[in-house]
Amino acid sequence: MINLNKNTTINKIIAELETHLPYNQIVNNHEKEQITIDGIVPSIVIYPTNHSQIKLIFTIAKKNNLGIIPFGGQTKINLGNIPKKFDIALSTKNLNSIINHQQFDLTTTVEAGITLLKLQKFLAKFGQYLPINSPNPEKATIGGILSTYPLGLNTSNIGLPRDWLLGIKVALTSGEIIKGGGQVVKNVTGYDMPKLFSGALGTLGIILEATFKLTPIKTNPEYLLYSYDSIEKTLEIIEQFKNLDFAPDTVSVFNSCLLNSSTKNSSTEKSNYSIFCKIAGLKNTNKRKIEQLQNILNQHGNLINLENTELSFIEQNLINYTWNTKQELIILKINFPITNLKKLINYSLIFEKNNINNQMILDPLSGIMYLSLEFKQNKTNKNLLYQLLNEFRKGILNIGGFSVIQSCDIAIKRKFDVWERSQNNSFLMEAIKRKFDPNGILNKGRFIDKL
Amino acid sequence: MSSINNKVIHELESIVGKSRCMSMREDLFCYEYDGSIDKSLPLAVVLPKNKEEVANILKCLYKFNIKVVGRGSGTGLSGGAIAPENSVQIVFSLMDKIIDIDSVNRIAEVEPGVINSNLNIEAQKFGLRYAPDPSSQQACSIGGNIAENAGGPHCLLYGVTSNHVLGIEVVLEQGQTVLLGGKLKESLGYDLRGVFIGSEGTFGLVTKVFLQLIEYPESTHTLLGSFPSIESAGNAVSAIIGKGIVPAALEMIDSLTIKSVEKVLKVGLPKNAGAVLLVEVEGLQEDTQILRKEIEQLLWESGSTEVLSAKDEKERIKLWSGRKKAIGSLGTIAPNYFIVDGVVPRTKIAFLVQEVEKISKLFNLPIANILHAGDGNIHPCILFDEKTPGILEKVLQAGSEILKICVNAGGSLSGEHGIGLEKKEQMPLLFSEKDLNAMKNLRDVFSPSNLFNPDKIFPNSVKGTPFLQNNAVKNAGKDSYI
Repeated sequence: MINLNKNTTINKIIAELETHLPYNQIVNNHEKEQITIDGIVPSIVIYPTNHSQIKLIFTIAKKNNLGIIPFGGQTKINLGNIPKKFDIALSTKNLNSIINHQQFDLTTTVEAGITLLKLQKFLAKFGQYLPINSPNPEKATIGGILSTYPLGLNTSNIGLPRDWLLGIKVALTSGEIIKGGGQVVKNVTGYDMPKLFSGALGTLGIILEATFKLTPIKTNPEYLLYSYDSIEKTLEIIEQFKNLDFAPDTVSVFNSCLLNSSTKNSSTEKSNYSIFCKIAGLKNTNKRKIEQLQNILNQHGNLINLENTELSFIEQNLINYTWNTKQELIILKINFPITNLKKLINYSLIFEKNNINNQMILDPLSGIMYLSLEFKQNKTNKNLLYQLLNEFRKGILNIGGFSVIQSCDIAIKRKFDVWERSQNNSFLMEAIKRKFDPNGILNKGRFIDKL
Repeated sequence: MSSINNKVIHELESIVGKSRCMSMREDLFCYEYDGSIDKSLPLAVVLPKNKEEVANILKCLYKFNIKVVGRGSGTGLSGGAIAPENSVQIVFSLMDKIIDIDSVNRIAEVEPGVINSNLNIEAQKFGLRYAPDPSSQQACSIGGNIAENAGGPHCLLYGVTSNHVLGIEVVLEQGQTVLLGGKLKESLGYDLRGVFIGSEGTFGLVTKVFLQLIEYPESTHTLLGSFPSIESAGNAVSAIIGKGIVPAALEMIDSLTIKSVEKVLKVGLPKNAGAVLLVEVEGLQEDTQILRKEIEQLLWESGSTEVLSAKDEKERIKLWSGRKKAIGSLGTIAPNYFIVDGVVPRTKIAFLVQEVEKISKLFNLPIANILHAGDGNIHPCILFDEKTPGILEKVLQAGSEILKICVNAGGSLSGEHGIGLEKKEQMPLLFSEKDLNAMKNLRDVFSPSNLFNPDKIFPNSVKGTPFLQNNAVKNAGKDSYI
């Protein structure tokens, strides 16, 4: 944060920026409070509309030792540790055009600020889509998703966003704009620079453009929702999924109370856990898929009869829930080896045993669990929660997994590193950060190892 | 040999023993070339058996500032495994253990020297397979596949090596061992695994790999369409992709290749066809049956004169044999070939082949076209006789012209073979100095002393500096093998 004669410095910077950027692209009033991160309000919020403006902002930031946090639709802006420097919030939302769409080559190049929903709606006109999902796709931008959302719920069949990324254009803190990869679906020309910036939380550069390969839209989506009265029975069902002839597009296991009131009926109210499955494809194949799934799901469960449209909302609602930003909730994302699912479930029971309200969403095919914990501010509860959270996260490491606290109150961030893993390559991460952002301008302190 | 070199060899011998450290000229000849046209004799060749030996070798070479080149099976086609004079080549053929196949998590843990197809033979026992299938899969190693981010015909549906590698254990220049990625699909932090794959051996040496395996499909259908011209076959490619069908493989060969295949193999390809297109679909039975019919219809509509459909595995293998052995068969036309590995948007395949034809006439060199048509990856094979004086300059120039056309058409320099020595001077066609500097910055993180695989990927900073490829031209006399 700017400490030295803050107002004067800020005014000078704004004056300098205003000579190059129209006034409506710079926010220096109460509106900037909407971009607060961990209680820190930036001094300025900037909405550049072209690459040279971004270059200028980097030059000014370097000269004045300012910290920049880039953002898109603000859907995941709180991900990360408490920022060490946050003077400028830089939005890419004005860089939002579709630069190129090669319909018969199944590729597209877009600016980073375009929202996922806008892009998907455009591609749908051609029967195509980008196989990436995200919470709040109407707000979430491509740049933000690439930076923050490596592997999410229901991605076992589609992989990570980086798997669909062919090329990238990035503004480095040096002011240089570089490109990596290309625009064709197969390419090994030079190092795979798109991989470097994907999932880097905007700590190495600001993604300006991205080229993706696309896929035809899967037709005839069908859904199944079942409820179960115990976790043991639910896990028995999941165990049998390995006998299927196919991999369902989506399998989510979750506490039934997460179904919103409109989708609740008498069966869900009595049940503790639900399994939600989605399949898609040709009708003939779907028939076999549904039959196989029903044979397994029926064993201990009750079918919840809902309209297809209603069921289709459940998938997105669950994804949205994984990024719930309510301060009273801690949302933990856990990656784990699928063979250790039962151990993970057993570990997670410590919260229930200690009367800490919690809900789970599980993607058993991808090996991902989201656990939300209720966070009460009184001291006794807090200390107990800290202790259990610590134990739980150590347990995750012991079974070969890792965890990220995706969303929480600042008190938790003061106590925990939101990223917890056990690997010995930190020195490489640090060296990369030093090479690409030597002055610590971008997202300082927020990523792994407080980079 | 200088006294320092003697010291280095002596120290290397003390690490791996005399039998696994070669420095006699006649022992080194087998390691002076790979599948490309370049060649060079290293100072020594060392064959480690485990990561500790690799680490100790690197500590030794770092101390003496001796450059290091890793080598798997030496099947690379861009000169990636060529070791310059005074460098040491570390060959991984003795680190070839399949350590574990975890069939529940579908993960194979292997050493880098494991041959790609050997892994598949082992994985098949569990009903699993490793998807990337480069044409050299019976000889190429997993470590080499990682260095080059290898592809193969079926990467159209399943993706390239990078999509199937979960984690890599690597040794860096000072002998530190680090794990990049792990056993899960995702890892926290920068994607070090992702940037290492395809770095062509310039970042470090791989000592262990965790690979994602996939299940065999329930059903496979293979079709072969014959076309009067490469243009009509190209139109069929666009029609199939445009219809929203992404086959498992979509391969094409041109008339010159068809003729050479038939001369050698007699697989029954129509000798008068301008091109044949091989299409394979995989999946659930109901899906593949419908897709097979749709594709067959599209092949006819695009001008196919004949469509063959494999009725069983035996017929499937026969249909594939023409494609898989296409490059080898070119030996009937000319003793030498130079394979170009450009990529164009798949809609521009027909255009590209027309341009290749012009180049063939301009340089008076026959060019046979083998294409991974589904992903726009073209392999024009420039055919020549190394004994013809001055021929190699002409071949390289023709190759370079083809790559320029690829780049101008919105494509790229390499789809699966890598840049290596072969295409490094063309890198500025695609990347600015800033782009290349960003790549160099990344390399410097992994290898601050630039110890690994010198003079690859990046163009020579001093214009006109001769290097191996130029040397290859110089050396190409009647006794040279190119």
